[in-house]
Amino acid sequence: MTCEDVKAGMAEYLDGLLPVEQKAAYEKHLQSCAHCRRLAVETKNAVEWLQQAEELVPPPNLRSSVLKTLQQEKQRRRRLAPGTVQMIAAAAVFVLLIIGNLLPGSDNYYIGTRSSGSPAAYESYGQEVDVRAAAENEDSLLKTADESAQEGLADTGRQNQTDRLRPTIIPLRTAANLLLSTVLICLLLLARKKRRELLP
Amino acid sequence: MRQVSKLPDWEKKLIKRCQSGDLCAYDQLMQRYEKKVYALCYRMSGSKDDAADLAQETFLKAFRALPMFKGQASFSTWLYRIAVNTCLDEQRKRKKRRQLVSLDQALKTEDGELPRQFPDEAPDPLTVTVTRELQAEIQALLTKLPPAQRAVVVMRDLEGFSYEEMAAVLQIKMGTLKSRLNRARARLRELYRQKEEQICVLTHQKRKGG
Repeated sequence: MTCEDVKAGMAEYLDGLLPVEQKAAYEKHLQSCAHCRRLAVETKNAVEWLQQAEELVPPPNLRSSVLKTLQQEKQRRRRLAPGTVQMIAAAAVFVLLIIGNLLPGSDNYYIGTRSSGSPAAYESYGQEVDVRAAAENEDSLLKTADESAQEGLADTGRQNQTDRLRPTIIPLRTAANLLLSTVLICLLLLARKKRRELLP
Repeated sequence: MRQVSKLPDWEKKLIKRCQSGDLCAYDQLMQRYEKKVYALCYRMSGSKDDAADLAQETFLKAFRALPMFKGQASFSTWLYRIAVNTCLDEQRKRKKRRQLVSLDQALKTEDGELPRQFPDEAPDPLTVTVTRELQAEIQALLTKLPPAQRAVVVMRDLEGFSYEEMAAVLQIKMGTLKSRLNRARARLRELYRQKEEQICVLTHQKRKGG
């Protein structure tokens, strides 16, 4: 048996796993080779020193925290795929946004810009009030009033308030657009985050 | 030599219940293995907090992967494989992170994290200090081993795994396992000798100085 053989068989020798004949040959070499003998003793000492390592106790909440996480996963799976709720909400907000801008009322925007600035706007506003007054007098003309409202007027039912409300109505739509867009983006980001969380 | 145990009946039943999503059954299964899984994680990571995280991750992964467990190997082997791989992956990630952010190295030296590993349990402060120091030294030496070598030393010398079990857990051939264990122990021997020599030098210097 060579020194290399001894090195290769060291683990098994120290663990008492060598077959009888091999063990005898191993020990014979150790008796004659001081170097290998030293290696064997030192390795044994190092392992024995290491084995003084204390027994470890897992933290008491290990299992409960695993179970908690698994319980949550189970419930999430039972409901919907993660992010679905957010995606549905985002779709709803998107539809709202489209409808809000397609509605005839969206013409408000033009009136608003005119009325807020140029005298022409006031002029047209005056005409508008005239038409409305007529509409109030004759019910049959209400339709015309509505049409004119569609051409560029605010809600025909509230003429008296229109004047006061006008400056706020226009920013309202813009603000609503801004708000809805923000909510939409937030929802989309949230949905993406939720989906990513599931990935290992 | 111990044979790698086949799946006993009670465990088969328990695993089946777990596979159908029964968390009570999984609690029982965890109870049986948490000590060893935690010990592996602790010895591999060298810190209490990391060990708790790694052990938790191991059990989470195992539960999620249970439907894929067909009972070819014993459950314990399969579970320990997940544990060891989780620990080795973490080591790899850390190494990468350390290479990327060198500032991190100063903060998270392996030696720096050691003092807070051992809880105050014994009442005698001197005994506490001595045991603590020894335990810290042991863990420090282990941490100096390359992760793959550390894994075999921890499994064999601290947790008493058989060679067959280790080969099965690590999915390596018996010959590879034996040579890895030999290399690991040789490295351990060298580290131990260095440590002893250092102590000799220190005491010698003290004597000279005093």
